[in-house]
Amino acid sequence: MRIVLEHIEKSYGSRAVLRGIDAVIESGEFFCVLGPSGSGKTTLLRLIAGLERPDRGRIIFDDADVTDLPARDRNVSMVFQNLALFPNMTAYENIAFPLRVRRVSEGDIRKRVKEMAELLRIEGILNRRVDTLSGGERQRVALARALVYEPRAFLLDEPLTALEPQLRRELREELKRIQRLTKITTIYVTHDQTEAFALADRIAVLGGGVFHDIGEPIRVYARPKTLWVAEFLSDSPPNFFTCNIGGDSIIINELGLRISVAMPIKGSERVKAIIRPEDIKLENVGNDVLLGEIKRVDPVGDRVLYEVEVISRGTRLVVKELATERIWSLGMRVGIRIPLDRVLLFDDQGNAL
Amino acid sequence: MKASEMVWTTVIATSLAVGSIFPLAYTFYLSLLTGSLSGQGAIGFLNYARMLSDPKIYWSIAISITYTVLSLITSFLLGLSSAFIITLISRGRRLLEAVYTIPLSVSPIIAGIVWSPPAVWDDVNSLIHFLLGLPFIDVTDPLIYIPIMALAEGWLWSPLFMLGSLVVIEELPNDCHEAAAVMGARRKDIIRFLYIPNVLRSKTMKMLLVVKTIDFFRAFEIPFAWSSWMRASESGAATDTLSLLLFKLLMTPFEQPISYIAAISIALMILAFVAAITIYRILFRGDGA
Repeated sequence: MRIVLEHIEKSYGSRAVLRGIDAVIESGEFFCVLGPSGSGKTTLLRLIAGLERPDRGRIIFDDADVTDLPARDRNVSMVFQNLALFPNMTAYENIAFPLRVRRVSEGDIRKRVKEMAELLRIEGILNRRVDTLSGGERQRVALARALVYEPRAFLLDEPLTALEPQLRRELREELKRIQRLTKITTIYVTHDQTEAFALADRIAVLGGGVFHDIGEPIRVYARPKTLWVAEFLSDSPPNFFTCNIGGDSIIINELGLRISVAMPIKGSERVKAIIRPEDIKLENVGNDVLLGEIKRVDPVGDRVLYEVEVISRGTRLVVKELATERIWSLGMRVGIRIPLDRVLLFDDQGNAL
Repeated sequence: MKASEMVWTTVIATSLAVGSIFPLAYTFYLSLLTGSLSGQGAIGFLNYARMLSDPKIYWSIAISITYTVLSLITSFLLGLSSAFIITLISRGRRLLEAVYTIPLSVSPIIAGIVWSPPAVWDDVNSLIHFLLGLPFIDVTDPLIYIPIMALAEGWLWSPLFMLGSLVVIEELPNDCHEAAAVMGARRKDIIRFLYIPNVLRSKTMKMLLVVKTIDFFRAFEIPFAWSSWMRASESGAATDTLSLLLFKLLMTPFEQPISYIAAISIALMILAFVAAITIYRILFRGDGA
């Protein structure tokens, strides 16, 4: 099913949560809404599910306007952040619930619950009460319950957040597999970039109640449309510069860098530049690179964060390299290579140039 | 713990233990005596042996069990239905809850009177006989009045099960209601497929059932009231639950020795206890309890 969001607005009292959301989610697409907490992700999902009504705008399923249709008549499914499994009931009864509501015969219910259990590999726990299950098992029961009635769309509200990393990875793969298999239109909201990038066909970055950028994960990461997205998608503090414009090029004074641009820049006095720590490469001192000195070394998992001072300019850069690469130690002199095509440039309004 | 605290703790613990055990132990002791007026001598378990051949005891146990089962069913069903009615309405919910709770504050003996022939059934009979031309309901027939007694008992205790159900329902997280709505459930589906299984399996309701089993097994007031309406003052009548039988025997001291009554009361206690344990075992099976 194709879902169209047309200029959705929603406020709670004087607090505007969504300020005009526009998007088209194609049939069978895995669509991730990525945003920090409090950005209105859950509200957006609840509007699509029909648990809330928008103040303005329309929600369209295929060709039908469902803006005022109550949740129970939309035939979508939603996995809540805390799963919302029914306590005191077994996994089987939980999964059977939406079928019982639809007055499916007990024989068919047994058959379909069994199929779902096989798909999610939970055949062995069907007769156990959900409060006796582990986190991962509960997760699978919730997914089975949400898929068993073949809903038109599948909405997920950060269902993996509470799990430990390994289980999370495993369930992420599982989710992707099932989504590809069932080709169900899926909207997944999360604040976790890794999750969004691993799962999505397209990502929408939500901040301050609007979508800042919608696109394929690789494009959104490589060429974010706004400064806000670039900052949000950087998990280590990005190197941030305010630059001058000189004719058809942009000058980063702090680094003595000059980047030529194809088109002249209009309507903007100054340009903001972001150089991502992972885009900068450290190497042996050479002729055509900036000279720097390692001032700080912070190992973070499989990466190492360096703080490098550019000699004779005093500017400090954050550089991130794989921990499997050569480790530079404190006080060492290094060459700093900045690929100019990876420098992200934004105008005064924060829009990408 | 300081020495003085220890002394006090010991004293309090001992008095509590003695306070709760002594009456039982003394009753048991009494049950082992002859209890005749000519003097008291120990006769061991003869009183218990005698009980086994006393038809009044069997009759009374049968009545107590019937009464308990019927009362449990009526109070449970009435309580559950009132709870579901309350969840269905949106306005005046608190008021209705208060109204439904009233029977809980009624003294059981009053319940025996409120549901009595002069209070209700004579009028009901006039109505169905003279207005509808149907035969009278014969409330003097034990097959009629035992269910009526149980109905009175059920009415009296239904609020307890109603409140228990409401607690369970209100404990369901709001997310569960929203999840049910997204899955397409209407109000009645929610009651049928979510509330009922949850209420039936909740520890709260199971505990209430166990407690009320013991309670109904010892029922006295309502059968006592009905025993008066039926002019059934002699022991062994169809109103006589074990508690009422004991009372009647005590009121006619020359009929049975006190030691025999003590033996019956010990038997009553053991029966109620066994019934409660059995029900507890059945209900909490698989709960790890």
